[in-house]
Amino acid sequence: MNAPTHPGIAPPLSAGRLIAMLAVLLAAALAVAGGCSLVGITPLSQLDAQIWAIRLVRLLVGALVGAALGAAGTALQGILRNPLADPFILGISSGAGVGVLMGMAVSSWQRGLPTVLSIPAMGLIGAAVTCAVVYGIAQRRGRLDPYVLLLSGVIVNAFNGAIMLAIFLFIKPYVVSAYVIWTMGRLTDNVSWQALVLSSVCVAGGWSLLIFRGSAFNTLGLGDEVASSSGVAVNRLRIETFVVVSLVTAAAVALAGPIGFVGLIVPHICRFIVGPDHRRLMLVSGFIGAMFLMSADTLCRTAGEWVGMGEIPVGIVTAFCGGPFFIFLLRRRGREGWS
Amino acid sequence: MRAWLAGFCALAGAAVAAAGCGKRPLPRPDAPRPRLITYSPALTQIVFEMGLGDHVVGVTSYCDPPPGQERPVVGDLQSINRERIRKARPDVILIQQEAKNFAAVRQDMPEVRIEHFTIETLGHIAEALERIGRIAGNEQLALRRRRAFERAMADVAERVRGRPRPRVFFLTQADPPAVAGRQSFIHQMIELAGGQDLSGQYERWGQINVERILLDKPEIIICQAEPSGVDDARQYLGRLTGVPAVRDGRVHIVTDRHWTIPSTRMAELAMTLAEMIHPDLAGQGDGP
Amino acid sequence: MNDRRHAIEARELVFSYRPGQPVLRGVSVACGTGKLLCVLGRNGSGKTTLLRCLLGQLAPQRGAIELDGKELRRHSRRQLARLLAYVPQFPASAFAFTVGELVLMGRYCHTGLMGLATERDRSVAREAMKMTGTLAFAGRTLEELSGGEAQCVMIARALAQQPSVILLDEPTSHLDIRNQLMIYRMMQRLAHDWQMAVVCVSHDVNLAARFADELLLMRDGEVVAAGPPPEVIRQDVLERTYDVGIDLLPAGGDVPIVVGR
Repeated sequence: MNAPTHPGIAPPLSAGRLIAMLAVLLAAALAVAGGCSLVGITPLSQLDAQIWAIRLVRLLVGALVGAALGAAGTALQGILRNPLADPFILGISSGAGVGVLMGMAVSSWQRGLPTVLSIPAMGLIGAAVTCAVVYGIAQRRGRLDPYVLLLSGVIVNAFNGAIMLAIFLFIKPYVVSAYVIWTMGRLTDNVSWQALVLSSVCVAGGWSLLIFRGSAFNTLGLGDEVASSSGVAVNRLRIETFVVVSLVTAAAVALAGPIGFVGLIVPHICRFIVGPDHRRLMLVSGFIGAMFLMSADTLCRTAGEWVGMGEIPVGIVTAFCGGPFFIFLLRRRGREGWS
Repeated sequence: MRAWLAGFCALAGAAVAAAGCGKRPLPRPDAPRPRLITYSPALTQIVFEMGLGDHVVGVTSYCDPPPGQERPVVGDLQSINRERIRKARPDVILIQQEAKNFAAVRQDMPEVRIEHFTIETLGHIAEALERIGRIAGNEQLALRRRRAFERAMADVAERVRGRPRPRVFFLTQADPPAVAGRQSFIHQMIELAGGQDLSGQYERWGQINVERILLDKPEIIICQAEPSGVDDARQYLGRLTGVPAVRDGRVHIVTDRHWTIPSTRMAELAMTLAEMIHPDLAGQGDGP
Repeated sequence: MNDRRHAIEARELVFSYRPGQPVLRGVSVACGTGKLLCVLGRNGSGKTTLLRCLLGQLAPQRGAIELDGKELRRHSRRQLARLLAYVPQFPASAFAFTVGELVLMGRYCHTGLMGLATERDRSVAREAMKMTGTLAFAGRTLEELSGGEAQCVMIARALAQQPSVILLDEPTSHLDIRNQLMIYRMMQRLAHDWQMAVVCVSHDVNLAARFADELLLMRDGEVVAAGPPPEVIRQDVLERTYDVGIDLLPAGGDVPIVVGR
């Protein structure tokens, strides 16, 4: 008999195990946050309460955005049964981009836009409109086919890209470069506490909901018919997941711009650690995402000075991680839990 | 459904065409000679400020002529549109980039003069003023403007001579903090105005970490912002209570774009800088 | 059969995917508890559509479907899953779960939030795997199994739902003779020994005729004939169903072997 290539049946999942996982992950995340808060261009000896507070706020934003993107990416890859899905394929980032670019363009044509139409607000509006369009194109009599949804997202992304290129023609180059810098993503320490609370509620709520859907995601892997006859409300689950993912991703993009690769890499890391069971995956994804982004941002804050720049936008670091990571994944196929 | 799509495309196309039509300024057949093409934003700025805007028949897409005085765009910093240059019929082209990029233009139009300028220091601006005046055929204007500029700079240097040099941090934006760097004009202006420019530790422009401001503890902070963003900038910087500049209330928010764009106003702005850096100078003597 | 209420019954089903092109034109089918019913017909005769209507995934424009006397639509999705289970044609899982985990997924309609399995769930899953002979593979993934073994796993998963009716869509179309026989024997055992109502869409007339208690022959969305194999396996009926010349060769039992000409 051939020895099983799979590491064996995972220990049965129980409430106790889940809580233990939660505790371990929370401790790990706090440890990473604590460690990151001590690293920066200010040497430890000169670290005072104010600098530390600034760093903590920024780490909190990083944790929120990372958790949002990690959970969203994992849920999306589960519901679409596609290892290359990432939260931005639904058009959120390109939609937010169009919104932000229009905001920047209009405020450059007439200096001074009302502050209620700030960059994050324009981004949210753009993301919301794009979501509605993607959904409108993909749905048919209220049903959502995953393949059509993916295609719809791709098409709308392309169209948004064209709109942005067109806007580029009518604006000054410095607006273009300001926009490009926005697309690189950036974690900020300058957030109002209202924005923080609102985003935390969004992210925590969305993420919890997705965790509870973990069992349904597992069953969905058997195909729509089998899942449906097992008791999974397939169509409702898709729409619900789509809405939650969009909400959570939009919150992340509004806070920090479209930071790429997090939603794509984190699910794979999680699968590598805990296997294909989405009940564990969804729980782990938010924490891994948070730790990933906090670490990346700490690197950005610190490494910039070494290369003679002030600060590297975090999207660049995550992008540079992406390529080698996927090569590594490709070489180790099979351990992860995709068939 | 298809009818909708077609209608939408037609509308979009018409909108783009209309926008394109409205924007392009017509060539200027009756501009006084010598007809100039100013092939860089700095040169455009300087020529207009010298009052020689009428001579300009072509600019790049990056240039920013004064409102109401648009000029035909004949190219941008990556590509030189020979056809449009020919249509503009210039006598002289003022450039900042390498002359060899214009070899093709020289072949096309051998009677056109190509004048190369290096504008990297305040001194270069002074020289440019004289050269441009001469090219325009107005030697008196040339010398007068150059001397005025140099005198203004010398004036500033004189006023601040011998004084201690406080630490100054110039930010091109507050959130996230960004600097202009060592290679910028503002760096030279601050040094001229008797300050020690901390943002000069960075070679070029870019974002920096807010911790750097807290670490370097500048005594004066000058920050650029759009008029609508002044309050936000003040609030953002106001949190940094560990910084002497914030503690002593020496944070200046400025909204003029010309702080970082090379122009003939730089001598004048240097005086304003000197007054910010050495407040006891304000009220003495003339100047804005 | 004494009880008038069948385990699953459909009456006069009419269904079209596109208006004006009905795929089912008044199909009636009934399967009692403890019976194996096989649905036969040409490709495109509406067999799979019928199955999906019975599953509750398609809503017929006309006609009624009842599970143990109660209308299908009146059941909640969860209730329905506890009564009705489905085995697909090709066993596949997008995620590399082990056989044990896959079979446990059949307990979805019985488990609560997070789908945490209790000891009862695990024992039901074990029983299902024992019945289908897949307990030995519990730690392996579907990819490592042969076609027949994988299909058994899917049947085990369906059994874990503890349904009264189990619906299979051409379960042996891609299997060799040995596995085909195994699956049909298993379906027969499920019906006779476990007292389930088993409805199977078949592509093989002979296997169906040999093992089924009742046959339903369809053509172009209509029922050509229905009843026990000896009544239905006749040359004229089969020729009408398949639109091809048929020869019947005597076999040992009460049902001849069907051969196309």
